[in-house]
Amino acid sequence: MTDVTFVKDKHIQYVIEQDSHRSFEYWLSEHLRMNGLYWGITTLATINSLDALPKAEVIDFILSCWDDKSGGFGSFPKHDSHILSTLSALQVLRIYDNELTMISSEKRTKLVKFIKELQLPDGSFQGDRFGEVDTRFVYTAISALSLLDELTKEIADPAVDFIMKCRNFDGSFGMVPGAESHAAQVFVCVGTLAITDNLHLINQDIKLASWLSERQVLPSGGFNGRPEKLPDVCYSWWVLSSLAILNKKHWVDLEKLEGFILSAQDLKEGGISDRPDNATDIYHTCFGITGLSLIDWKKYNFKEIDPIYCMPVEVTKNFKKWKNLSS
Amino acid sequence: MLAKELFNIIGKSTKKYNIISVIPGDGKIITHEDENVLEIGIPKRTYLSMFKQAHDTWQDMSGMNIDDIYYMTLGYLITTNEHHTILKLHRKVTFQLIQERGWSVLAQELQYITSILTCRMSRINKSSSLWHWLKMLTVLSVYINKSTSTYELVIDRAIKSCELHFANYYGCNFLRWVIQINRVIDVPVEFDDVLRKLVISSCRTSLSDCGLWGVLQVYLSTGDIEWTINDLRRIVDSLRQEGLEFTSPVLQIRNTDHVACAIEQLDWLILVQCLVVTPYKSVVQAIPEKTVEEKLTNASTKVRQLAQEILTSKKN
Repeated sequence: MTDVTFVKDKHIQYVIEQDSHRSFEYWLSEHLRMNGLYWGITTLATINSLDALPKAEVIDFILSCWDDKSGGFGSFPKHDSHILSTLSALQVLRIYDNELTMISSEKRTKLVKFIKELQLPDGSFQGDRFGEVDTRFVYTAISALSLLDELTKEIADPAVDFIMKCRNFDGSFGMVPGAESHAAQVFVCVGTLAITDNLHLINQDIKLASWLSERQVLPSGGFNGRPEKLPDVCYSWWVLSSLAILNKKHWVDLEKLEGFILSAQDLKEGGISDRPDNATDIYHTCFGITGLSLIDWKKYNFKEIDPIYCMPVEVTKNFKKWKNLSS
Repeated sequence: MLAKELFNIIGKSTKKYNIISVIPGDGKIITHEDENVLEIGIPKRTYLSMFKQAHDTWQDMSGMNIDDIYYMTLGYLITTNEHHTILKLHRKVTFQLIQERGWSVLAQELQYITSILTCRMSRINKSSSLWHWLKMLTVLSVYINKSTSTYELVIDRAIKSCELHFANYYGCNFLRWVIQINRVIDVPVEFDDVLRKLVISSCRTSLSDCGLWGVLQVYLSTGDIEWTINDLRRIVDSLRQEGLEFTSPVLQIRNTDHVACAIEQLDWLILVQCLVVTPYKSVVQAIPEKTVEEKLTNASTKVRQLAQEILTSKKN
């Protein structure tokens, strides 16, 4: 049992300061700002501190990133839209307003068109017109359509076919067919199967859960993303959420994982790093805290996190899942 | 412009590898060379200034010529990862330059991009979208023009990138893609030899690198040909949509049989008494079980136990 405490107030301050420290690093990451905003807001929402950032300003920023030409959200004003920044924008907006009233019906129509047109004939998705294909983009598109209550059988079925082609001999998944197994790719593939109500395609086989449980590195208790790699806090989310979706969280030592996440906190300045004593960042802070929520949200007085969407359950419980949409 | 200064250094280099690092301090970009490598050190403050110049330029491109825009995008590519807006602009400008000035621009672009991908900054050398861009450039310069020397440059540098960044996920998946593409189109016979030798050599120096050993596993096994052909067609179509004119690569499916090579690798692992699981997992997939068991009779007890565990898990 770890004796390190969770420094909630420090983490709140850390998230607030992400936007006020206009260092070079701030501008260097301008093109990832929408993802950064999602990580910050999800952190705050999970620890019951959403009010720490001004809601109106956050929403205004997101709406300023609307790319009317293609019909999605970019990461920063005047940046082109991409499926990753579009999902992040929708997630934050829906955390604030479950009805998404800030998105007009015209924008909504454009958004759905933008996302659907990224799908390729084999069911995969590209991230934007650059043409990169990856299971990350399949999950991101399916999740975004689900958030918009616009997921249809015509979109979901070929996407699931593609996901299943990305499965490897070890039961795990890669970025495309024949690509190396990777824990983050497992999350996006299992997440897609969960949203589309297709977990039965993998549930009979214990290979995947075995592969995921082998990601726990001893003695630290942290997870890695692939064999022989060092443990990293972000995999607390990618691995544990996948196990949670498969109802196999008990296959790993949760107490040791909890200790690893807590030991990667910066107790003085707030924030969480990839592993103890490294520099903190908002990405690892988010996935460390959402990982703790998966381990025991009640203990920390957190919001319960949804392992499929990485958003609070109180938000996702209103989502229309695929099975409710069959026509 | 600092980016122009950097890429001029790379453009003049005749070395096998141009390895870019960010070093402490301020001042000029410095270089050091040995037989095969040009080491390029960019002081931290200069690196940040390179980004600022690119950022400022992008905010107002009115009246700028195409070369300045090209170098501005290169300045972004060496300082940021996954900047989707800039990547699309860079592609557009590169193709425009190829159309205006000919295919020599492609050779230069390949030099630049492979040098960016062999830099020591991990967030840059693992950039998925940059590796995707290298796929497009490889189709154009290697598979359409069938240049063995360009192929060797691309493979050499992709492997170097994977050596510099342990288990580089997108770098190793690029190499997997090359192996699969070599199986579905008409390529010179030496393509296979070049890749096999380099991958095996690299694997043997890094026994715990699951990425590199996974590349070897793909080489030793059969892959998803349908996906590979679709992926190739998609890239070729996207290149045509950019207005480039070329003859499509000719599809030619070839059957591979690398069991002998896999057995050779198993022999080597037993000989050096490798005690890391990953290499065995990669090679035994391609070898008949009976042969593996025969080979293990000559192995040390520890190696035999390790390999038996893998065989048991393979059966399950």
